[in-house]
Order: sequence, then structure tokens, then C-alpha cells
Amino acid sequence: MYEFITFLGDAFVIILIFATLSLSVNLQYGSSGIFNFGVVAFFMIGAYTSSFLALTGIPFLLALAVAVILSGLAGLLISLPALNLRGDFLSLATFMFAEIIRLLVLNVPSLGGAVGIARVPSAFPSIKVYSNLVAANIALSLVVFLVFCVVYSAMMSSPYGRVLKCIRENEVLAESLGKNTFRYKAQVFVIGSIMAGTAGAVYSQYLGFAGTELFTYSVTFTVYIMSIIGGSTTRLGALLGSFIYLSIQDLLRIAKNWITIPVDPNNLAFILFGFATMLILYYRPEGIIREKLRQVRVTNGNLGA
Amino acid sequence: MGILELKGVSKSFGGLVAVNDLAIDVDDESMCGLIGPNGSGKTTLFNVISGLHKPDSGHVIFKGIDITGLPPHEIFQKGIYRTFQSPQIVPRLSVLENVLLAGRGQAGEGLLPAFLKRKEWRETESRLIERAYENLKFLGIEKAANESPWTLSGGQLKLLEVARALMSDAELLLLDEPAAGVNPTLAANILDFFEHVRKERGATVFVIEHKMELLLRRVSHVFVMNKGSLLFQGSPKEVAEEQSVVEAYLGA
Repeated sequence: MYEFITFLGDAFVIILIFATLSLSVNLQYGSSGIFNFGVVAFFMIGAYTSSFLALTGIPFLLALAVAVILSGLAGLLISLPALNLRGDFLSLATFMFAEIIRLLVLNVPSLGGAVGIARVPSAFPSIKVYSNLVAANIALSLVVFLVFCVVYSAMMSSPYGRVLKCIRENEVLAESLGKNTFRYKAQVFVIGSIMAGTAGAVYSQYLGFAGTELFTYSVTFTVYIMSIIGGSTTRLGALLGSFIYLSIQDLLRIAKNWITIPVDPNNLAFILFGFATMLILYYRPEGIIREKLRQVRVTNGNLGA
Repeated sequence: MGILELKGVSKSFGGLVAVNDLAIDVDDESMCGLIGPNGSGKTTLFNVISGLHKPDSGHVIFKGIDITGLPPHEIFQKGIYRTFQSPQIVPRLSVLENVLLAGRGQAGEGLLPAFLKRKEWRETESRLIERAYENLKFLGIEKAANESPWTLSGGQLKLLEVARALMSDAELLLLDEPAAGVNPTLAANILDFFEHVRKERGATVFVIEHKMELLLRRVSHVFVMNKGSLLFQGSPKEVAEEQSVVEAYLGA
């Protein structure tokens, strides 16, 4: 029983970290129409920055703060040239950026190279019991996710969010209505990058490791699938997508020990998610949890109650 | 000198000269028409004025300030609003929010104020909501305020554009066929709404329209374009009688 609860707790930490990543995709892609296919790059920059800093002995929160700044800065730098590109070209440029960063780290030994960074200090160095450590990490990743949920909702519930939705659906109209679309997109790109970078910092201290094999492009695709399945425009959709994806993946791994299936459960997961994504995109493109139109109260043809 | 002045504006796309050395002057608080056959460069001219295209040469002067080559959002902020031939909508915003987008001076549209000055922009927001709703009511589409613009008919979409133009408080409205594709009564109404805006708020209306009998009765001055150049300009009466205009556009 004890092991089982720890196992669930461990799954929950990863679900929350990926929910934060998925939230960054929801902000960029779902709410603003920015196809950032390099999400993993900012996840990785956050993870590596905080890991290197934590190894020098500075406290986690300080390492996290630097990771936030650096991932945001990286987001700003890549957004300046890339955001002038339209949809599909932007996705290619960001995708290549992520690969360049990964291959750079892989081939520069002083950045960790192929070995990666081992023994990354935990954010909770005083906690020695594993189950307590998992509990502390649930709290940490939950706080991170909730903080970004507040940021997300503050953005989307204001006139600012209305402009983002206009940019998502009709950029020419947004420009014609006096909105500096480039500035909006750059801001969203930076905030999304900060979300991903923070998730990366939490991830690497939890695993105690950072390596290039954790940050391949498949992470980006995984997060997009989570976002699309759960609902790419809502906070709850990000959490639900992450939960569904990772639970099914874990359940299939467990099921392998009990039933015999002709395909490897990992591959089966890929097949299932491929189908699920296709079905969702076809029949319910906004995902399981959908965005609602904002309503004003009208009584007898007049505003107000 | 009028509110809008074009000096030698040219715009080509590859070998095609869409606007050729055009010079026009639009009087302040007037309603002017722009007519010409399809492909004569009317929409391109609007695109140049509103900043969607940079002219190859020439100057666009608005209220005495050179606005040539500014991005569209800055041109809107200077006080020019343009509509498009096909109604522009944001399907996943309600009709009311589609109108709200055109509201000026929204502090809550900035990133930091969205977080920090919620109380301040909430006041602006409720004032704008009231105004937007009144505009929808004035145009008779207030029942759809909470719906997606997908639910609107073609004519109602044209009215949504009018609502947005009303909301924009622009001093110069560039209207690209605001009454195209709607029945004659509604078309007349739409043009009357803009005439109302002109009189009430002192806005200048510059309108492309093919429905001659509707246009010529409302405008004070007409510009006629043909093959990218200004063919003729004058009062509606002069235009209707001008032989070259009849040949190029109105037909015998």
C-alpha cells in the first residue's frame, strides 16, 4: 500500500509538471494561435540552468529565479525574428531552434554532453524519506501550476485576452483595430517560455538529473497532444490532458505485466494517442474542455440584471 | 487641404501597376465616394492608406501628418478605421466582444494593467460594454450580443462592421463596399448609418460602393479610378454626366 501511494504520488508530480508545460502551449497555441513547436527548448533551458546553478550550491529558489529569467530571455530572443513568420514557418523555426539547442548541449561536454548532469540537488535537501520527498514535490509542482493558472486567467479574463483571441483568429483585423500584434505575440511567447522553463527546473531537481534524451522533440509533440485532447484553451484542459495522457501511458505499462498483447505497450500508447488526437481534432477540435463565449447579462433587451 | 491627402501614390505588384501616381484630397467631415471597375485599384488604395501595403512612392497625409508606411495599428490609433469587403469577424468571441475590440483607450489591453489595474479597466470595460450594446441596439442586432458571429446572416455581419466602425470613434472611416451583397433596403440603411455618424460626430466617410443610385444620392464628391489612375473627380451630378466615366464604368 505504501509503495502504491508513493507510486501514485510520483505519477502526480510528473502530471503536474507536464500540465504546466501544457498550460504554456494553451497560452501560446490555444489562446493566441502561436505555433511554438520548440516548447521543449525552453523546458530544457530551465532544467539545465537550474541544474548547473544548484550544483554550485546555491538554493533552489535562486536557481529557479535565474532559470525563469534565462528561459524568458531565450523566448524573447527567438521570438524577435521568428514571430514575423506566419503559422507553419514559425512552427518550423521554433522546432529547429529546439533541435539546435539539444544538439549543441549534446556535443559540448562542458554543457553536460551526452552524459548529462547527474546528481542534481533536490529542492528539498533536508528531506531524506522518499515518500516525504514525493509529497514535497507534489506541493512544489502544484504551487507552480496554480501560480501559472492565476497568470493565465488574469491574462485571458481581461481585454488583453480578448486581443489575443482576435490575433488567434484574425490577425489582420487585430492590426486594423489598432493592436500591435507583434508586441502581443512576443509577450505571450516570453510568458509561455517562462512557464516551460519553470517546469524544467522543477523536473530536473525532482529527477535529480538532466540529459538531452529527456528533451527530444517528442516532448513537444506529447505536450501538444495533451493540450489538444484536454482542451487547448482552458487551464483545466491542460491538467486533464496531462492526466489522461500520462495515466494511460502508465496504465499500459502496468497492464503489460498482467495481460499479453501483441504490441509493445509503449508503441500501443503512441498508436492510441495518434488515433485519439485525430478523432478529437475531427470531432471536437477545441478538446474535451471547451472555451465558453463570455456572456453579458441582458434583461428585457437591456443590459444588466 | 482636406483631412486626407494623397500625393503621387503608386503601388505595383510585380509587373502589375495597381495604383499609379494617384493624387486625391478628401475634405474634412465630408462623405466621398470612390468608384471604378473591378480591378481598378480601389481596395489597393485603401490598403495603402490603412497601412496594409507600403506604397512604392508618394505620400499619405492625414490631418497634415505624413503617415506613409506606418503599420496598420498605428494608423488606427491616429484616427483612421477601415472596413473590409468581406466582413471580418472573430468567431470565438461573442458579437458584443467583436464590437468591444474596436473601443479606444482600453487600459486593460496592456499586459501589466491587465494584472495590476483591474479596478481601473473594469470601469472602462463596463462603460464600453454599455456603448457597444447601445450600438447593437441602434442597428437592431442586439439579440445576438451573446452569440458567436457565426450565427449572424450576411446582412447582419455587415451591420456588425457598422457597429465596430461606430465604436472606433475614428475621424476617417474607409469603407470598402459596406453594402455589398445585401438587399437594397438594408444597403440604403447602412449608408444612412454612416451618414448619421458623419453628421453626429463630424467623421469623414470615404466609401467604395458599386450601388450607384445609393451612393450618388449621399456623397458630396466622387473619385473615379480606372486602371490604377484617377480618371475623373467631381460632384455626383458631374460624374454621372461625364462621358469617360460612363464609358469606363457606368455603361451606356
